[in-house]
Amino acid sequence: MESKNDLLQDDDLQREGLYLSEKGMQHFAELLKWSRFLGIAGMIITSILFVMVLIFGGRIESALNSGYTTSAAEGLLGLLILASISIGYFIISYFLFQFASLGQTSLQSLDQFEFTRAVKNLKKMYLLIAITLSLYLLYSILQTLITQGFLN
Amino acid sequence: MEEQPQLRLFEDLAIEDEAKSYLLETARYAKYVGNVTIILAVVSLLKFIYVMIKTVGILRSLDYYFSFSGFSSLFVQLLTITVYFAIGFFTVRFSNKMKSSIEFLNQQDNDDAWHNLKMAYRICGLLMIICLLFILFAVLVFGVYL
Repeated sequence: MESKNDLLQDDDLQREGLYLSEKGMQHFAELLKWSRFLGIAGMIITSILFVMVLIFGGRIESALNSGYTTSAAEGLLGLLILASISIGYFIISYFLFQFASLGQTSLQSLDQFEFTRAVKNLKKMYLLIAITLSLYLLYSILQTLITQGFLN
Repeated sequence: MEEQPQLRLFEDLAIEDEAKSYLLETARYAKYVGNVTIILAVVSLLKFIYVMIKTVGILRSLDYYFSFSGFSSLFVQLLTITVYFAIGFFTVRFSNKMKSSIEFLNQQDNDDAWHNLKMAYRICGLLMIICLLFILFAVLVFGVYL
């Protein structure tokens, strides 16, 4: 039979690896609360934005007539950009919400598998933010170059 | 029959190898995101200072600095830049601490990493609450007049 000392030694060996300590868990729990809030708020806002894009999408002609846009292409491009932003932000918020939900489950049940899944969602979210930020930077640089006349 | 030990010795959550690799990747992306955010905040600050210097004569003649709208506009711009800088700063710190905690199996760094990410998300959350309040205010005020 395995004695208590053997068990202690086994767990000491396990603790040589990385783990979420009690202090870490407190930080992690608060992080999950904020993540859940940001995820839900983000999904609601982007859904409203997307619905508005769909509603205003049918009004390009009236916007053209009333002088809000100078061309239909410009109006469509604006709507397309807004729709892309809302979809992108929705996916980011969804990953954040998933991270929060799975993280909460892992904390409650001390389940390593759920923790791994939660962290995978966090990674996906940061990857998407990095791609979005790169696109934004590229757009800003191109816009600066065009407005300064370097590309003429 | 052999008795199974029911004793739970530690209430910690072990981080397995797969999670470590995901966390390392997260740290790499977070570092990029944080650094870009800091750079954008610094560029915005420089742009703000440049515009302020360039238009100082006009703004002074309009008594812009001492008007409510002028002062609040400057305050909000500086606050936004500071907030973005803080988010970037905490994200980069999360990244560095997480990377070092995984590479050197440093438990203290792991705790600090989660603390820094929590701080970044807390700021984002407060910013979101302020934005939602503004939207609500706008809907209530302008919705009535529409």
